Amino acid sequence: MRVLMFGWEFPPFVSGGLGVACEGLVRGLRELGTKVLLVLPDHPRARRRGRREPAVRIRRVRTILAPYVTEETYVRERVEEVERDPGASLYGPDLHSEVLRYAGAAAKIALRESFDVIHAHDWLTFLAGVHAQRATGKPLVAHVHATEYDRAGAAPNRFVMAVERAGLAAADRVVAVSGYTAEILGTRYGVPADRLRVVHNAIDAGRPLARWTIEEGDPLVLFAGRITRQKGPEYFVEAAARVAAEMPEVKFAVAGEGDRLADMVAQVAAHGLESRFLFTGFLPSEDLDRLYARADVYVMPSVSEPFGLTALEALRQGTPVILSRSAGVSEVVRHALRVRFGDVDDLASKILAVLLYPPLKATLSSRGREEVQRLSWREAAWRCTGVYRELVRE
Amino acid sequence: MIPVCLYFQVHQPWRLRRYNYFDVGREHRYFDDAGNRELFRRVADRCYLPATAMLARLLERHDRFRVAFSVSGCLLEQAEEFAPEVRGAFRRLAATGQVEFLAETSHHSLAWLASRSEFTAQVALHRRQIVETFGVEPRVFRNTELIFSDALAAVLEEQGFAGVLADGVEPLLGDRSPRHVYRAATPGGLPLLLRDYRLSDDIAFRFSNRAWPEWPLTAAKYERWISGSDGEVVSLFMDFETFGEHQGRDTGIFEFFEDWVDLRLRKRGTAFLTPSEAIERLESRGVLSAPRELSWADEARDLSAWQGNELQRDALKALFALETRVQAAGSPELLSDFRRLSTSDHFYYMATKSAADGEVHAYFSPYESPYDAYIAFMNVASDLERRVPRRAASRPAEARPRLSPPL
Repeated sequence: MRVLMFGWEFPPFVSGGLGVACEGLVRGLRELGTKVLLVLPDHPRARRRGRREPAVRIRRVRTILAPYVTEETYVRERVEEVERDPGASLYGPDLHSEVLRYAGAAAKIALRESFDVIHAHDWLTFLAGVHAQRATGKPLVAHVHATEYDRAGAAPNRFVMAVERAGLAAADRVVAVSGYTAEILGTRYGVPADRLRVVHNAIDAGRPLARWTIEEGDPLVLFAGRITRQKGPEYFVEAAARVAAEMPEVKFAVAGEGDRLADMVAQVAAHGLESRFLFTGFLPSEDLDRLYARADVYVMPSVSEPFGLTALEALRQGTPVILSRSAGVSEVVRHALRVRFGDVDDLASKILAVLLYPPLKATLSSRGREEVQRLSWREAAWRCTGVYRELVRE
Repeated sequence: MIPVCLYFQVHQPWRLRRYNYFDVGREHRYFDDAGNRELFRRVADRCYLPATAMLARLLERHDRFRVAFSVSGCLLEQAEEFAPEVRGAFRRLAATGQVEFLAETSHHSLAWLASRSEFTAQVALHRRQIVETFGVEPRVFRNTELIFSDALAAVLEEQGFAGVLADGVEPLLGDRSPRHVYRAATPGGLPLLLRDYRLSDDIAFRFSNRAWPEWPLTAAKYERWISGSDGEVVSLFMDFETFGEHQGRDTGIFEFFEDWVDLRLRKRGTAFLTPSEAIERLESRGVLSAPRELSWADEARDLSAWQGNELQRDALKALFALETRVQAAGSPELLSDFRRLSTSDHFYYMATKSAADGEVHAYFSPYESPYDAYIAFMNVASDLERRVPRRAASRPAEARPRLSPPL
């Protein structure tokens, strides 16, 4: 089986869960003997984060599209890029035209390669997948890691949603990272159940436990991830204020960047919690592992979380997790606490329970860690190959 | 004809309300009044009322029919508050003289595992509740969820009980049959009556399971199994909620049971015995010893359903750490709250088992997860701890337990 895969993030250029998931899946597929040719965007100023360059065939397409791009960030990006290099005016004048240009350029690769299945990850690559499907007649698998509905809720970007709908309508199979996402794809995007499959994200447990080298001290509550509306950062701060009022020694760490960072900092200040909060910015995975290991509890208060890989990363370090009920990862972990997003009293109460009742923390930690050790990307990859086989047989 | 000894457990716990950390010190009502009322009404309509009506018909038709109940004090309290007609229904059964009521702890509790004095107090309270409600003195004891050990038998013998019930499990019986009366390993050899768990679970668990090769179970088939059994008595012990609640009315459980009793009583001889009658009439076939605690719950038939993980052990310890202070306070409200928290169900909800056991625990639990059960319980216990006065002289002032985190 040969797969032409359109991805967006891949080590060493990773800024979110999509890159981690894509890498895990490709590694799992390789272990199963599936050949993958990966088509990736080649951003002139991509920041290398992490060291590993995986052994996989890669074709790169020049673009200034970046993961988690918006119309505003794209236009800003292009202005800056053209100032730096006049040749950059080749890139589309707005997000819309650049996504179309990229799709065409990426799909050209399809004509020069031979493969059995096309596999595209999220909306930025969907049109490339659709072009390749039309050009070659090979079946298309659209893999959904997040939808515009998750990112934007009631105020979606119409262009992004139109691209999502076009990709999902053309796809021969749609793979969702959770039952939660499959539900959204069914109800909000009208994807029929017979074309919809769930392949849960996974984690490879092989890593050694990280050690926190800084002196151990006060109880620590951790938030990690992009600081965007979707991740519910304001609920974290509200809950933190309630927890801090009960436990004077507790501290809070926020690892990540995003468009709501300034709001979050202001909210912390408004509660007078500056001395209790540590904002680390984006952390490479080794440092993040150390922070997970140091934290007493990891909180994911997301408004809508298609999967939520960071929860598995925290559990791998034996850190108890409190998950939003609107998170797909809930479907694969039993040994976690759950809250309705926005219910900050319940969230604060559960944070306090983990900090105050030692057997609770110990049990969530040991049973949770056992649970993630049973997961593997190979399993997820095996499920994907099942989807490929359905199509190749047809 | 081998006689059958029927005993039904009737119990509902006082389930806790959603009680979060911020309720501690502010909210002293612990129980989900609306939820408990709703559930009780539902079970009354589906089970208690139609099932007692069915038994009343059978007792009226057959003066040789016998049945025994163990009714918890929690159930009597809830019946009084939520559905008084349920109490009346059981009273009418008691008035036939063909029904035995067994002794247990008032609160269907784990007191036996935590405190001898509280256990004894709850047994005495339950005895008063039964005498007051049904006008009969219980003589035979069954501990919460058939928890049983040599140590328990010795205490019961001292307290003057005529016999005790246990589950007929292999650790107790070895290769012997559960269908005899035995004696416990106590100085006086307290009579011991053992549940035939296979024949009991054929009704209680498997009756409506279509994947079971014996489905559908008919009265005639079941009676063939019973009368084909060797031994002197078949003890069928199960939750009364089996009728209409665990096995819904549409499974045919009521018709099955009524037909079976009618069928059995068509033959001459002793068809049914109460536990007291079985113990009086049958010779003991030897001594059985249980050095460790056994029960009728889960695959393991030990204490792991309520004390299998660290959460459950911690919660029981935290509650009983308050026992002497609650007793000393002399407040009926505090004592009642304390005892309602000692009910085994709270600990059962905290089990983290998986597979088949986990499914059964989840079926009974009002919580989404065992962790939620533990958190609610510990928050409530923290509040109770704040309410009970400290005994100033006898103990040095200590901080609230676990106020400081584990670092």
